[in-house]
Amino acid sequence: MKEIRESEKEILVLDSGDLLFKRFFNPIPENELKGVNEKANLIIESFNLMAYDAIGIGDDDLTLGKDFLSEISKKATFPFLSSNLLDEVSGKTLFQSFVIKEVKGLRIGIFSLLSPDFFTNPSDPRRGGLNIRPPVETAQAMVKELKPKTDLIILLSHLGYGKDVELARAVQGINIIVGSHTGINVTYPPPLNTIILQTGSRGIFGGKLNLLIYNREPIFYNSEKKTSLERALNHLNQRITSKETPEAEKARLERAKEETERNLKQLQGNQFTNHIISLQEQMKEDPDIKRMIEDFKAKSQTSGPPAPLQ
Amino acid sequence: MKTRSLFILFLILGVLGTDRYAFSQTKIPPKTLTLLYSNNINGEIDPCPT
Repeated sequence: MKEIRESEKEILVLDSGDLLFKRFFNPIPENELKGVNEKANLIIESFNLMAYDAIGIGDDDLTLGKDFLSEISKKATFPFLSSNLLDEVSGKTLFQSFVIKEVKGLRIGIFSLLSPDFFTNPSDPRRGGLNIRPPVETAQAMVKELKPKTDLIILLSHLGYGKDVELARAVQGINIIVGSHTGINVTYPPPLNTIILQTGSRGIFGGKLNLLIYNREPIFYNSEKKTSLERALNHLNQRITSKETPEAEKARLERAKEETERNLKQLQGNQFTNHIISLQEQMKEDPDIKRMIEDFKAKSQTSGPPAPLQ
Repeated sequence: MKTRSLFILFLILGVLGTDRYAFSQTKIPPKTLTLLYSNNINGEIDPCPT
């Protein structure tokens, strides 16, 4: 992370939720509560060290309730964002609705949404004391608010991949969706005006998106598409000029060449490249964070869960 | 005569405008932004959970 920060100065580091806890299908046993709480604190400390810019809230981040999440958010050096998670009593958003970051003159608006669909059981304790505003309606309001103030709008989405695609089609103006919950590696974002991203679960992968911005119209095309079209054009040219290609075949190849050239011409302006990174293989360990984790593990082993009563 | 002078003036302005547009399209280096992102860490602190 430090190396990337040094080599690429214009950088934003974001997480879109389900950060602090694994999925508990049953209430957490009393003797595990302290360890779970301490591990969540350790994750926030390490995110502080990695200088995250913002995180979104996932359903599982509410495992220990809204009060716990509010308390732990105060220890973070970055904002917890949720634009549609409301306190049931006050009716106000539980966390900051959005943040605007400025990176080398580029103003970036970031907001976050959580899906109410992940709380199917009405007595789900994670939803205690909370209301969740409809995501599409909230997204429209956020875009309206952020568009005049920013050059780029990013959604930290905890809606799931399918809903991200639906939202990108329904709400114009969101440029990038950093998704989550589904836990799939989206190496090639679908060809939409919004770049939709996501990586696999359990901290095995991270993602790196590079943007090249030539103009103010924040529509991006995948630079890999350009590379593959250029490759196809080369191949077509070789076959057209080859003496071995029959004349009848050449006419068909010429038509294919014209179409490829037309497609290439359409790829003008801003570009992106997206890479899914295997964290263990492609990211070096940070010695400070490694030490913190080792200390935590050593402490957990010495304290351990209480022995069962005889 | 007056019409011809105006025509020449507009022609010169047009050429200058086109040049400036072409300059802005080709010479200004693009802005860059790198986004590092994560999701669904699910409380994992080991590098490669099994």
